[in-house]
Order: sequence, then structure tokens, then C-alpha cells
Amino acid sequence: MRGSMAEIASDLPERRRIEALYELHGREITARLYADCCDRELAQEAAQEAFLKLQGRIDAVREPIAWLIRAGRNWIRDQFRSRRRFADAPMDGDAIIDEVDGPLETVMASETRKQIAMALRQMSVEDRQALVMRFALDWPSARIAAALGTTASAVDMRISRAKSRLAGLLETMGVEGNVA
Amino acid sequence: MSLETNANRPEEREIEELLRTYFATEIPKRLPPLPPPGSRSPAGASARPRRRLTAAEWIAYSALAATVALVLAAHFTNAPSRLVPVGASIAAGSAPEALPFDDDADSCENDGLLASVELRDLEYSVFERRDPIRTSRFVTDEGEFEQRTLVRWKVYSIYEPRTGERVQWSTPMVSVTVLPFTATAVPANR
Repeated sequence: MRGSMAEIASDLPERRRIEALYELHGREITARLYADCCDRELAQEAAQEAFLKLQGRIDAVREPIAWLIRAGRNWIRDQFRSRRRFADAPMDGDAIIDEVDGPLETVMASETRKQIAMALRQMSVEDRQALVMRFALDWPSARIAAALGTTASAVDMRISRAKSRLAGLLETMGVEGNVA
Repeated sequence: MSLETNANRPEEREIEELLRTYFATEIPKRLPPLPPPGSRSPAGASARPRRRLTAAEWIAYSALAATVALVLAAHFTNAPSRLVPVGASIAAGSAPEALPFDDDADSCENDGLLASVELRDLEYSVFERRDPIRTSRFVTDEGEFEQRTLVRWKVYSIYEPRTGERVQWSTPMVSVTVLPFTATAVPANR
């Protein structure tokens, strides 16, 4: 999060700076937006829209990462306000299953992936944020704490409880141990 | 939460493994390339419905439509039906500049419009530009008259810092002044 612009040479053309920022933080932005919407395509699209919006104002934005996340969240919010988008959202996980192919099917049964998606949607955004940062971005607790504005111990507690809650949700869905 | 231990319940390590595998597919390490500026993001762009208008845009477009309707209504109701337009050859030169244009006659500031816009978190600005004054002359039973028409445009700009969106619209305001015209008042060289 911090020093994101300092890592990019300021004498580069704006487009190159945005691309460099996208390379450095695009996945982080996508992951954090994913925690909001639980929709891979929507999160990717929102992240790209946010970076495109940065064009022409990169020098005016003080905290580009925070700005990008806000812009992406607002874009997602607008999309969900649209009835059609809302209706198309893969709330039952079917769209996720359809996209699974290749060796991943041998690693994780599509039914399990569907159930994980459904379970994540039943959890709070804060829990999903913490889980995404830990298990998708591999962030240490201190970095997650800085991003969420809390302490590392609180993050550890939140992740522990979130995992427990997820296990309970999966159990109610019939997912048992040794699923992976 | 039950305190009982359930042998079927996924263990913590299994949950972590599940999540890592799941997120690896949902949030891949390799991102799609950033589309060029001016284009839309490729993911889902074709299937995405049109963006719905924001509240500010709705208000702006509604205000613009209402203003245009008012201008048209005013134009048709105030048309000088009794007056007969005279060609440009009737009087050489421009209108008597000594006669001041009643610039304050139109005091429409659109305060009502701005008050209805949610401006708590928005930055907005208003500036004005004017079109050149158009003149027409008429001959009536009571003499010659000149009609001056001034169109002023108020350009409103609202910036929403949260989304980085800027909405801009303009509203025309028409001022029509009819003045008695005397050719003798115009200098010969004009």
C-alpha cells in the first residue's frame, strides 16, 4: 500500500505509470474488490475500470491504491444497482463451476468450489477481506492490519474466527474433512 | 457455536488449503492486460448492461430538458407576431450602441436547481459564456425597432472525488430586448 507511487518513476508517461501501478498492485486491487463482490469477473472488470479512470488524474490522486479501491467499489456498487447485473451475478456459484476445467478439477471438486463460494458470500465483508489478504495475497498479519486499520492480533483473531465460521458453513453444506 | 468436536468438520489446515486453492483460481496471479485508454475493460464489457445514470446526471439532464422546454415556450409565446421583419438593407450599420443592453433583465441564476442537487460530498463550479448578440430589425406602425437576442450559457461542473467522475452540463438563458431604432443615431461610417 504505502509508497506505491514512489516505486514508479515520475518522469514516465502517464500511461506507463498507470501500467506499472497495475503490474504492482493490480492483483491486490482485484483481490480486495473480489472480497467485496465474490465475483471474479466483476472484480477484474472493476479493477480495470478503476485503473482506466486514473488516466488524466494520476498526479492529482494522493493515495492511488485507496483511490483505486474506492473507484472499483463504486463501480461494483453501480453494477449491482443494475437489475440485470444483479440478476446475472453468479449467486449460486454455477458460473464459477462452468469455468472450471483442466487439472483443477482433479484438485478440487466443482461442487466444493460452489459451496465455498456460497459460504464466502454468507460471511461478512470484513472476514472475506481478511481471508483474501491472507490466503490469496499471502500478506502477513501486520500488513493486513495496516490495510484494515486494526492490529495484527485482531487480524489473527478475525482470520481464526473466519476460518472456523467457514468450516461450520461448509459442514452445514455437507462438505466434510479431506475434501482437498 | 457448538463446542462438540465433529469428525466430519473440515479441519483448520484443510480450510486453509481449500482457500488457497480456491483463491488461486478466483484471483489468478497473472492479470489480464490493461486495456488502452478510452476503451472499456474487456472482462464482461460485451455483456455488461448500460451504466445507469447517477442522481446528479438525472438532475442535470432533467434540468437541461426543462430549460430547453422553457426557452422554446418563451420563444413562441413572446414572438412579435405583429411585427414585420425587415431585411438587412433597411438600415446600414449596427444597432445604436449608445443604447445599453439590458443585461440585468435576465436574472435567472438557477438557484433552485443547484439547491436540489446533493452537493455535500461534491465539488462544483459554475461559469458563464455568451454567444454573440444577434440583432433583428422590425418596422411597425409605431416606427422601427431593433430586437437584440443574447444567449448566455451557464456551465455547471460537478466533480465527485470518490469515483473521480465529472459531470458537466450547460443551460441556455435567452435575453430578448426590443429597442426603438433610429437610423439617424447611427454614425455614417458604421
